[in-house]
This record gives sequence, structure tokens and C-alpha cells, in this order.
Amino acid sequence: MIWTIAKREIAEAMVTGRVPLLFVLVVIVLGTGMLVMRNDYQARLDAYALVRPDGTEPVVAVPPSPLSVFARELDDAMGRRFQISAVGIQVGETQTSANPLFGAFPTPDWLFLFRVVLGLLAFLAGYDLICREKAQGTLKLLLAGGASRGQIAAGKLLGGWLALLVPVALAALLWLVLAGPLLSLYFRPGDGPAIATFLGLGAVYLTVCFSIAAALSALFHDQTTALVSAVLAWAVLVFVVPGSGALLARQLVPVRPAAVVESENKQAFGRHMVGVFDEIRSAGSIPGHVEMEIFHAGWDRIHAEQDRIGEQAAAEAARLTRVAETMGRLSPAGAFQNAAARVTGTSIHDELALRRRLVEHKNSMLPAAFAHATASGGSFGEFLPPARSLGGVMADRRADLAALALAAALSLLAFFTAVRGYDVR
Amino acid sequence: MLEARDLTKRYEDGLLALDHLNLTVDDGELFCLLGANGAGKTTTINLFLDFIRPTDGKALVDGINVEADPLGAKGRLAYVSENVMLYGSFTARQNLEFFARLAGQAGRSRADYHMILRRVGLPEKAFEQQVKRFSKGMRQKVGIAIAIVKGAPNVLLDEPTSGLDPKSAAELMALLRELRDEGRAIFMSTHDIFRAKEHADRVGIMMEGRLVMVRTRAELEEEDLERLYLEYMEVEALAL
Ligand SMILES: Nc1ncnc2c1ncn2[C@@H]1O[C@H](COP(=O)(O)OP(=O)(O)O)[C@@H](O)[C@H]1O
Ligand SMILES: [Mg+2]
Repeated sequence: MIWTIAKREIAEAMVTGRVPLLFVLVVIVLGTGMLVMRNDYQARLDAYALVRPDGTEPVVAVPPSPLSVFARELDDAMGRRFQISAVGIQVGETQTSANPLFGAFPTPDWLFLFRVVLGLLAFLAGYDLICREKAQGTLKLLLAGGASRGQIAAGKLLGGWLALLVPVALAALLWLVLAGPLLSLYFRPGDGPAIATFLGLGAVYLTVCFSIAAALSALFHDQTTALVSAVLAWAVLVFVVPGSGALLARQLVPVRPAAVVESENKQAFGRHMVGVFDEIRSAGSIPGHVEMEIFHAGWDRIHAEQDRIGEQAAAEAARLTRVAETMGRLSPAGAFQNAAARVTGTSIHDELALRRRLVEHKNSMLPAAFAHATASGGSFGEFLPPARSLGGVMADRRADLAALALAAALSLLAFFTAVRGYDVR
Repeated sequence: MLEARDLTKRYEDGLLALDHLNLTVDDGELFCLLGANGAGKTTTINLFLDFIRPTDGKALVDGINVEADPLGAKGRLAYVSENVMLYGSFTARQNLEFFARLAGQAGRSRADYHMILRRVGLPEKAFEQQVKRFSKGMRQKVGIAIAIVKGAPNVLLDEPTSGLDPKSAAELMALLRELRDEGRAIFMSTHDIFRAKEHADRVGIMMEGRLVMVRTRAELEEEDLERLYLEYMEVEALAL
């Protein structure tokens, strides 16, 4: 019974051209996004080829990730070159230092396209699910037909959902297959699970959007009202809630600007150097190796303090991120954003983990770097990026997954309740 | 069998649209309900279909209380509205097939559906045409086909002949008599006094939510239904 109703819904979407149109639209949108992001990734890959360390210099460069096509986020920050020297870690100058959190870049990565464009398409696919039957006059015949309201609701929901998700899935798979041969975009051997998880999250998010729209379709009797309310709901959930969450987070959590952190670093350096010179001067004439020891002790103090400043800044950024994410989670679009960017490993959390790892690495190779500064040569250990597992990432994002599940459950409940009480006349 | 027992409906705005209706339509009986616009005919039919809930009393379909078991009651009911609306982008046969499946009547062949469409008098070439551009008469015929394919023992029709040309209306009434002869209980509201007198086993007149007159076919042989009807209308006009 449910399947009979679902099948009719799908057949109608096929013959009226809704499904073919949706497929073509999504192919164009996702393809354009992939092309633009591939070029962006390629540019960073080229830049990386220039700065890639050869082991003779105290330099760390993290390669850009092809997963940035799905969620670019902070990948350019991660593709940067880090020069490790006696003065600390310096960010490569030719590369832009990204605003770590709130540079509202409408980068057409798939995360943005799913969240905004496909989200809107999902709202448009569901807004008239029930009220269209009323407008075209078929609702009475349908309700008199022998299926319960629950079955009708379930059948229409299932049919409409498949008519949305199948074309989107086909379009996405098409581009994943064509990425290599057509766009020379090659993923790394281990990227499969992350891509699958990303698309799975996308499907859940679109399901939430669709069921919210379906609930609206059963709350209104007039298609125009339902359409206006669906577009309004989309704007609120995609832009207003996450946007004001981020804004509010910045008011609530104080974060020192990068320039202030930089100058604190420099001050620390200056202060300790003055201390070292004072110490050497007041020691009078001392043997060279003792003088060297005083120097080394000074370096150690500088690095300890700079690491502390760095940790503090990272902690502030982490706190700000957590607050912004918590507020964004009030909207399924925010929850999807939080989770999906983490899956591709390009989120602020990954950036912070990278920095932490970088400091460890720096401290381990400091003696060699010091030697490099004074003499020449020396060998520098290989930098190992922070390890991550998809399972760990998902566990870390369970609040976002729960928020998505809750939003789906609530909107489905609203949908079925509204259909049960829908006035036929 | 259709039964209304003290069936009453007062709308949210306080209007008493149906006032303690008591009526039985037996199996194998064709009952025509006459009444001016706003008399409460559609309200009565909507109550049998669970489209609205009664304020008082109950509607029974083959003894099943509609309010208590709407799905069970609907399974034994077929419904043809005043203006049958179908899925425009599907053909007549596809519409019929969908509603047949919905009624649990799967496993019929295309030829079976064509046979039913032929029976209701839909032109052959329209069977596999999208119903989008169907005239009202053609849609009413598909509506009857849907009622037939469901095979329900009770049929409710809300002014099914209004707006139909005389030939189509006559064909429809002939079909209803066939269905009646198959033993179904048929309840139809109409403005068409002449066809009611000609085809109905019993005729009722409803006024302001009350059933004010019921006559059998035999009784109507001796009476002029049109005069009776107009007399009641005058009484109503005087009362206003
Ligand atoms: N949803 C409603 N709310 C309030 N009043 C209604 C509603 N539907 C019908 N009515 C009123 O109930 C009365 C009976 O209507 P109806 O059953 O449609 O009459 P008929 O079908 O005999 O023309 C009319 O006065 C009509 O205005
Ligand atoms: Mg009416």
C-alpha cells in the first residue's frame, strides 16, 4: 500500500520532469563546484611542490588535501609552509594566512553546495507534498481510497524522498567517477571512507530539509503559502541560525587577534634575549662553552614561553569554535557543516591539531635547527601529521549527529501529526 | 448498507449543518437526496467518509461505525465527488490502476481496466490519454470506473450529474442502476428532480440539515415530485 503510493509519487515526478530536471541541475551544480575546487586544489598543490622540504632545511610543509574539494574550509592554511628556526615557527610568507574561523567565504565546495543549493532543492522537493493533492483536488479521492492517513503520509514521503535522493546520489556518483578521467582530480587510497561518510551526512541533511518541507506542506492548504514558508525556513536554517550563532560566539568568547599573539611572541623573544645578554655581560669573562650554555638556556626559555602563548591562543580558538559549533548545531545546516568539515579533515579542529603537532615537532628538531642557524647542514626529522581515524572523528561529532537525528525525528513527527489532522475540505 | 443515526454536525462557526439525521439505505437500493444548496447534503456524505467528525450521533457502513473504524468503513465505500479530480499527468487507465491497487485490487491486466473504462462509456481513444485535458463528463466517468473497480458494496455520489450533458447524465444513471442491481447500496445527492424520480428507489428532501420528506418509488407514482419539492422550498422561503 505504502509502496503503491510511493511509486505513483515517483512516477509523477518522472513524467512531469521534476526528477530529470533535478538530476541535470545537480549534475551542473556539483560539476561546476568540483571543477572550481579542483583548480583551487591544484594551485595549492603546485605551491606545495615549490616548498616541499628536502630534509636539508628546517622546514615543514603540509600537503593540501584532495578532500578540500568537498570541504575546503582551512585547507589552504594546512597547505602552508612552516619555517622552523631559533625564533620559533614562522608561517611561509608567500602563502596567505587564513582567517581561521569566520571568513565567510562562499567557496563552492560540495559542503557549501549541499548545505545551501541542494538544501534549497530539498525544500522545494517537499514543500507541496500534501497541499498539492489538495490544490489539484485529488486528496479526497486518495483519502477515500482505502489507505489510512498514516500510510498515505508514509507513501508520499517515501516517494518524494526517493525522487529527491536518487537523482542527487546519481549526480554525485557520476562526478566521483568522472573526477579522475575528466578533471584529473585523484583521491588518495584511503579517502574512500571519508568521501562515503561525507555523502552519507549530505543525504541525512537533505532528508532533514525534505521532511521539514513536507511538514510545512501538511500545515498549509495553499501552495503559495507553503512555498513562501519553505523558502523562509530554508533561509533561517541555512543562514540566520548558524550566522547568528557565530556572531554571538564571538561576543561571548574573547579571542586575541593574531597580530596581538604575534607581538606577544616577539616581546617574549626580546625580553629573554636581553636577559641572556645581561647574564653574559654580568658574568664577565667566561669560557665559550659556558656562554653557549647560557644561550641555550635562554632559547629554552623563549621556546617554553612561546609554546605557552601558542597553546593559550589555540585554547581560545578551540573554545570559540566549540561555542560557535554548539550554537550552529541548533540548525541542521550547522550540524551538517560541523560534522562534514571534520570528516574531510579540513576543519579548525584539524588545524589546531596540526599546530600542536608542529610545536612538538619543532621542539624535537630544535637542536638541529639551532645547528642549522649557526653552522650549516644538519638533518631534520620527517614531520608526521596528526593521526586521525574516521571512527574517532564521528565519535567526536556525536552531538552533531544527534542534532541531525533529532531534527529528522521532530520534522517527521510534525509531518505525520499534521497529515493526521489535515482538513480535507 | 448505509445508516445515519441521529447524525449531527455543527461546524466550528456554530452553524448546525446537519440535525439528527436518521436514514437507512439498504443493499440493492438507490437513494437520491434532493435539497437546495447549503441543505447539508455534502456534509452528510463527508461524515460517511470520515472527512469530518460528527458532533453527535453516528454514521454506519455495513454496521461499522465510521468514527470508530474509519479505515474499515472506507474499505466498504466507494466515493464519486461532484467534480472528480484525477492525476493529470497520468492516463485514464493509469489513474484507474492506481486507485485499484490502493483498494487492494492488484493483479488485473490492462485489458481488465480497459473493460471497465468501456463499461462506463469513456471513448476508447481516451483510455491511454493523459486525463489533463479531459472534460468534466469524462472525469466523472473515470470516477465511476474507480468506484466500480474498488468493488465496494456501498457507493456515495455527491451531485455526480451536475454539469453533465443529458446523454452523459442518462448513461451515468443507467450505470448506477446496474450497480444497484448488483446489490450495492447507492446514496446520491442531486438537484436533478426528474432523474431522481425516474431512477431512484427512494427520494429524500433535505432542508437546513433536516430530512423533511422521504418517498418511495411507488408513492411517487401518484405524486408530482417537482411540486412537492417546490412546496417545501416555499415553506423554507416563508420561514426565512
Ligand atoms: N467547513 C465548513 N464550515 C462552516 N460551515 C460550513 C462548512 N462546510 C459547509 N458549511 C455550511 O454547512 C451548510 C451545509 O453545507 P453543505 O453540506 O455543503 O450543503 P450542500 O452540499 O447541501 O449544498 C451550508 O450552510 C454551508 O455553508
Ligand atoms: Mg454539496
